Amino acid sequence: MKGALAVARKELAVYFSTPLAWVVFMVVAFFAAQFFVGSLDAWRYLSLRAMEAQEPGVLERMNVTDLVVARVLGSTGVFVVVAAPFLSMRLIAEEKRARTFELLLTAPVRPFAIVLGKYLAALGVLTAALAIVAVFPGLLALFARGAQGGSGIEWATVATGFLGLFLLGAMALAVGMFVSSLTESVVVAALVSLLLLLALWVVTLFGVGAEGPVRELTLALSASEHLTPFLQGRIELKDLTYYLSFVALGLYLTDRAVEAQRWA
Amino acid sequence: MKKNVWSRVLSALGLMLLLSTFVTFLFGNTQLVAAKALLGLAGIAAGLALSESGGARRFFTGRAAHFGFFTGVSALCVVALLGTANWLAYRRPHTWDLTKNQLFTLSEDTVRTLRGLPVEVSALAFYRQDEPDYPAAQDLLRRYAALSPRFTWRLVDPYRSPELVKQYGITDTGPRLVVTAQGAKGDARVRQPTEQELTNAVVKLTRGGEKKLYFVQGHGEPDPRDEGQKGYGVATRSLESEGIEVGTLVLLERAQVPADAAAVIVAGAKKPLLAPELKALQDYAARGGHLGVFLEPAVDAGLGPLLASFGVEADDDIVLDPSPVAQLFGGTALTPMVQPTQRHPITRDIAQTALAFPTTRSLVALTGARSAPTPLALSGRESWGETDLKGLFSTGAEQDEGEKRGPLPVAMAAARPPEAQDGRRSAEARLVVAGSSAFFANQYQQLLGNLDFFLNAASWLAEREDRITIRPKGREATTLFLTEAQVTMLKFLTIDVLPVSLLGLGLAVWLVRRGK
Repeated sequence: MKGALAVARKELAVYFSTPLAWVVFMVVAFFAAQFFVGSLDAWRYLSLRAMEAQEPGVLERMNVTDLVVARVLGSTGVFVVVAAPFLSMRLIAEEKRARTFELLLTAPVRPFAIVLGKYLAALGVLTAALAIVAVFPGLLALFARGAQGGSGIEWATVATGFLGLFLLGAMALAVGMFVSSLTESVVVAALVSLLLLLALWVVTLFGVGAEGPVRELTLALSASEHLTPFLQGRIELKDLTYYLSFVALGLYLTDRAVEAQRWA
Repeated sequence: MKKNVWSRVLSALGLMLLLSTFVTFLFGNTQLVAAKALLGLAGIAAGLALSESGGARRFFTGRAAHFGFFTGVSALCVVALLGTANWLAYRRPHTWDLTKNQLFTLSEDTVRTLRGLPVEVSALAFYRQDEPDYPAAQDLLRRYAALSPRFTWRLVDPYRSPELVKQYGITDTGPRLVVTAQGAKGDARVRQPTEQELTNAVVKLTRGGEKKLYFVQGHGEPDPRDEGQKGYGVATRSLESEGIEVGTLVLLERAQVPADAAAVIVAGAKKPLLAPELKALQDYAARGGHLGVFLEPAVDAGLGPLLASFGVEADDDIVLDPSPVAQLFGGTALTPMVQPTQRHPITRDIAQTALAFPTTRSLVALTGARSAPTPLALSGRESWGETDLKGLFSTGAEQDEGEKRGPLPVAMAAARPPEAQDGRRSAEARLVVAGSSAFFANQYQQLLGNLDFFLNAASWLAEREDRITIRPKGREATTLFLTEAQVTMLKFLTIDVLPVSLLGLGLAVWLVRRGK
């Protein structure tokens, strides 16, 4: 673990001293802000219309965590899927291209520690990007109030939403790192992992109109379907297992791919 | 072309075909999957056969091959292990519900109902995957099935199974979830995939003996099937979804209450009932009948003696509440908010939820009667019983001397001990009386706890106290009012300041690094 942390520290220094992490932060912040403002406008329009039409039933059901925060987090999920390949693309591929990988393998750390360290560094950057998104519910909490008093933001629901996004990011980075370990080109690594992750995001399209096991399988494989419960405030064992399985498989396969370098 | 190139091309094509079988599987054609897998394997075999002399042998016996073989086997084992873990987690759902109001936790009533299922129950849900109700239905059914092996379910795509759609008479606008039970006559339909409706459907099918409730007609009462604003269509459908059959009763035609009546409702009579009709109701009460009386303001329906026999009297007034809070949902002092009491099974579970009672009379408990009525709901402290009904709209409402001050009872329940009739003792007679007949009309039933109050009252009258009272759960309402200046500030902070600061920070780090 010590070795993995040393590798992670070195990788983090690389991320923050190059524009990559900052560009990811800026893109996530900019697009999340667009969704935040859009959801806020929709909220204001809906509450105004309910008051004008004297529809108390509508006002009774309006919840800012559900209608604004969960929507922003759901949209951020797409950017996590898009950003992760750019964070993971250079993890192994760049080392191979620059012929520094063999050097790294001679270091007194086990190959898995190298893999884990690089992965933790990328996960750290993604966590920082998600922390930026946490600004939006924080801002809303200054103005929103619950009907029975107290904060208008359901923080437990917001926390599970962020846990879901974190797990989605962890899964996307594991997939991206495995792809990065198979090639020397960072562009190929980014594009192939983006393709794979987008396929996992929209796999339910194959199940539309299908029945039985095929439909169940597409739902079970879909990364977006597994995110929904987290955004609603519940943690399902099947969703946890899904994301963690991808993380475990991604790290294992990357470790095998790195090990294969020694045997090639 | 050289043999070696052919070998690579064929191997690559074979591998591509083999890997893409998964995508083909998603289309559901197993023959095509098998054909592609076979072709893929053949391509790889041909590639190996054509490879340079000794290539195939080296491929299988080389140092890398050993590593590849063991890696492949161990990777397959890892995939199988993780696949099994996912399958188990899918089959045995477990949820940690962190929502404030426990939105995704099934109520104790549902858990008890499912764990004690006496027969096999199955649910068929007709939804396409792209319909908004699909995820809710799937999630709900899965959680029900996890609680009882006797509950099975299936989601059916209505476009792909037109024969099932026809068999169950499913329409676009009608209920899309059909529940059947072993040995039960017919099925139960669920309009919305909610816990309240689904559990009540299961209860309806598994609990024998349907109860029948009659609405008295012929004196200007709203039709129980009317879907207009003043009708009782929604309340009637809710009763039926809970296994209580609803019928109408014209007492002049029959002279007595039918023997199969579990309860009789007189709601919103605008003309007085005639003597034979009143006698029929009194006889029914004497036999241990159960009556629901929901009054109209400024109308004497002639029900006074019947109510008095239960120890209740309705005043000739209208309850007005000038408090702005009490008018929140009705809009005027004529629709006060009233608070249920905790003193009776009808209101015990909904005591925290206010009711909106439009144009309601106040009630009085009479002393010396054979039964002691229990108040079910009280008006607010600032309310009073306005007796000048004519002046109400001409000169406005003001509390005069002699008018009763709030809190005033607007709904009561009473039970009369059994009477001896022809040497036989009858059952306990029951009465629920309310000063308003509009609170459960379609126009007002969705406000606050109105529908629950009516359904609980009907269930108590029909001796269905074990009715499942699952209030639809929802998130707590939020108030968020922003001025234009606050909105502009929020937009400026999030769209401009935040991303630009991050860009600036990144640029600064990069420039400092370049300068080193």
